[in-house]
Amino acid sequence: MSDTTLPTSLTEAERNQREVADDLGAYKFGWADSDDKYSFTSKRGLTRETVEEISALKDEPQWMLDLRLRAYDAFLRRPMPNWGSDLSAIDFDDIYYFVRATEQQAASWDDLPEDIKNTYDKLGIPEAEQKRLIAGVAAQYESEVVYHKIREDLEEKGVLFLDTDTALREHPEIFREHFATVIPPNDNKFAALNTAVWSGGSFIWVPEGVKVDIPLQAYFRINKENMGQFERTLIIAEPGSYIHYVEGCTAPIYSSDSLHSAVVEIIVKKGARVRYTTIQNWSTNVYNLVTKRAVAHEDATMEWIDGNIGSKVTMKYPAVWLMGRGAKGEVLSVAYANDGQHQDAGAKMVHVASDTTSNIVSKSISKGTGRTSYRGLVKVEDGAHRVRSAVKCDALMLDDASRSDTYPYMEIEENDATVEHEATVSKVSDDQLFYMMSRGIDEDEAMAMIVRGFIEPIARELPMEYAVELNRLIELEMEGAIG
Amino acid sequence: MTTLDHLTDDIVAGRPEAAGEPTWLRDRRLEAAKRFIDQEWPNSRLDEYWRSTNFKRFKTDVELVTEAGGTADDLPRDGLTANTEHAAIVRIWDGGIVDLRVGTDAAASGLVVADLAEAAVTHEELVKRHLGSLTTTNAEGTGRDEDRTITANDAAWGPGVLVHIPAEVELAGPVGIRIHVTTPGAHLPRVLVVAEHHARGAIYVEHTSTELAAPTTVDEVVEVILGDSAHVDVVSLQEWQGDQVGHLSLQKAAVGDNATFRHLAVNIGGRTVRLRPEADMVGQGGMARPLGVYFADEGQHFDLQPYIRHIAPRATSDVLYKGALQGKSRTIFRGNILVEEGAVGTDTNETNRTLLLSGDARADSTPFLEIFCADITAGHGSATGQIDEDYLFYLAARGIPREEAVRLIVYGFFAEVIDEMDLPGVRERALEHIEREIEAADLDALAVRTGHHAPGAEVA
Repeated sequence: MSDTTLPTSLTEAERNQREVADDLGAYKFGWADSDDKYSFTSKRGLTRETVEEISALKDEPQWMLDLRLRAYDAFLRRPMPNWGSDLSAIDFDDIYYFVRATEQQAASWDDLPEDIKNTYDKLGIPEAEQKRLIAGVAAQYESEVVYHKIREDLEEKGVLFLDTDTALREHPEIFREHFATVIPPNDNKFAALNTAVWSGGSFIWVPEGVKVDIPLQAYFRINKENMGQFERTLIIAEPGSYIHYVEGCTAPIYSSDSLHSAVVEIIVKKGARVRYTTIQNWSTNVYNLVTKRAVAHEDATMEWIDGNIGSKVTMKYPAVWLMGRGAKGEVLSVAYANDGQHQDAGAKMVHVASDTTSNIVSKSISKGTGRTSYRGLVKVEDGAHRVRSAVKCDALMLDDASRSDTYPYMEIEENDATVEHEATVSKVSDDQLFYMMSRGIDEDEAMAMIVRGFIEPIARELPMEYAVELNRLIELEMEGAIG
Repeated sequence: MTTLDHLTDDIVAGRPEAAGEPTWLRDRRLEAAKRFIDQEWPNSRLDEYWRSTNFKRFKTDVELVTEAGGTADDLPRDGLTANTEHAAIVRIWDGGIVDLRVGTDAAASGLVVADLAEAAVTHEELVKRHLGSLTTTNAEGTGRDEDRTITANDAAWGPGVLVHIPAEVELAGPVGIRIHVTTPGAHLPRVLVVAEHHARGAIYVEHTSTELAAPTTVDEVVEVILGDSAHVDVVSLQEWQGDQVGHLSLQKAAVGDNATFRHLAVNIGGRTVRLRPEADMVGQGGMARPLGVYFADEGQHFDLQPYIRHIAPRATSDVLYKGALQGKSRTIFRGNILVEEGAVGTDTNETNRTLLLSGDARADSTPFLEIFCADITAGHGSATGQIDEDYLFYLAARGIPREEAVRLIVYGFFAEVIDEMDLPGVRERALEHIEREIEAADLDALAVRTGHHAPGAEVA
């Protein structure tokens, strides 16, 4: 800590950030655009007809409609989870299940309706694209992807990066071969809901041996009140390929709740590697109930990097099914729960094949009346030999009203597995603060530094811009942490 | 036929113990019987705490055993209860107490060990105040109405034992309670231990049986009340013979100001054992140390659920459970530490280590933490693995044969837990069991860890 920057010598950038923070308060993305000019809005609530209507509007093949209807039945049949967060306030009849903001997907940002373009400008997405910090970008607004672009050289190499609706139209065979194979339609109530009404999301196919050096990015925006966003993402990494996909998400602040229930399926074939990074920053009226699962084949590597800062309730447990010998799974997760938020996040590692390894690192911070829960599973199936798994969860509690839970499940059916779990829960101690303050660091800054240090193992795994973003978000959340 | 499935008001009121019981106790039994009728047996799909054990493993269509299995003279004087200098000995044989003796010195110091049904009359205030205070929603204790397995005991318990250690009395030897089963059916033993302020004592609860011919369910409740600065050690040995016994046991303590509660569970026998050693930290500065060793082999299923509730400030708890599995067996460590809002300065830790000695075994470990208070220190750790080949090699290089080396390593693994319970006879007894288990193990099929492992991965 000897090279710590003192508050008096903040860099200009840091000072600017602080001013921005002062201007906007804790949530910077809370504006809403008008929805007068939307080209289609479904009725509130969900019926069989809603499902049929969505499918018809998209002019889908019969098999997809059949799958949707099967999933709809499963959604009705499956019970609400009786664990985790209290979901009883979700009113499925009050939600808009499909909203088309604009008729045409735009080829350039300037072609988008003014409001939407402004929103993405404010989020800084076109700028990042222009600076070529990302290799491709997808922007989803309400139910559909309104802008899509991939770098020309990747297109030439055969990388497919499309919105999921377009992929179903243009690549029906590869789509049908993989869709809903990792997460079956009746997997859980919310995966069933997604399968019934899914719209948008990203479809990525990376050809054998192609390594995409900089990330593809998707940006999800909910604008309408009581919106339900159900994007569906499918990533297929052919043998020996590499892809890093980054998603971000924001929404306006409303007094009534919205629902975001995505399904993400990833297939990592032999020797391939997929890294999937999420910086989830929904406004605090969004229920974020997401099913994310990857299968990793022989010698493949799947990495989930999961930052949960926003939302009212998040229930999300990125999973890796290690199906091939030598496969690796990794989850790095950071969660921040402020007043009224519940981040119920974690990871699942299912070791089906021998010589597979997994690693989970979870860092959570709860402040005010916020609640963080780590909920995780490490399962070693019968027949999976020489499995190694390590889980480390640390929780930091900033206030007396905060809550932190750790629910790790380890189920081991082979005797030559090595599975370890460690967890700590602690408060920023007066000693730590005193030590730093005695060196002239004010209390707020000292607290922020401790929190930054706490999440550092995860922040350093992010691309630089995102690490900065994550730190900035947490700093915003930290405002007034010292009461 | 009176089975556990069909407990009714009449049956409860008609129990032999109930005949001479005071009205308040009768009323409590009847209240519990009403709850029992409204409740259903646990459902693994609905109840998180029953997630890992299908309740069908416990037979409930078995007849209540309410008669003693014989007389004291016919009951072999073996086991831990026979080997050490006891302050008192109680021997329960099936549905009755057949032997109850209190040492002269202990009696002179004021120790009371009595049949609980009789004590409800002779020590009415004491029993009325504490019995059920940790299992039912009541004004006196921190208990809340429990699931049907506990309600059944609240309604129809018997035989029961009261142990009362008066204030400032330190027992020189342990109180031994032997629960011996030879008649298949449903058994509902109950123990109430009250240690007043600055009292000190150890209670051994030894569970034994013959090889039974038919399914047997032992549904047991032990309540332990610790006054300020009291110190109570409970050692519970599950030594059931054969493969017919399903054992449900809640062993719950309320730990007062600066009191110390230590609990050691030694789990060796029984087809299915679901043990809940619990502590409610109701006093400031209390300490709980739940320890466990378990060794499961072919066909056995142990579901061990130490649960600590930190209610008062500055209490500490430290859970340590170590187990080994062989054959087609399954163990579940389901720890839970709950730190309530006002429990500032709590210091808690939870550790589970498992050694898998053969390939068919399954070990689950779920060390939960639920924390509502920021000003605390909490941690937990869990590791499942095998004996390290390096250790065997090291010992072999010093001329120690493989079989002996395995024994040494497994001993060492368990000794960390057992050595802590420095009470007469306990260490010997526990190690004797472990030795017998190792002898039965197929050492050729033993899994060992070889080669490049992560640093710090040693399970022991």
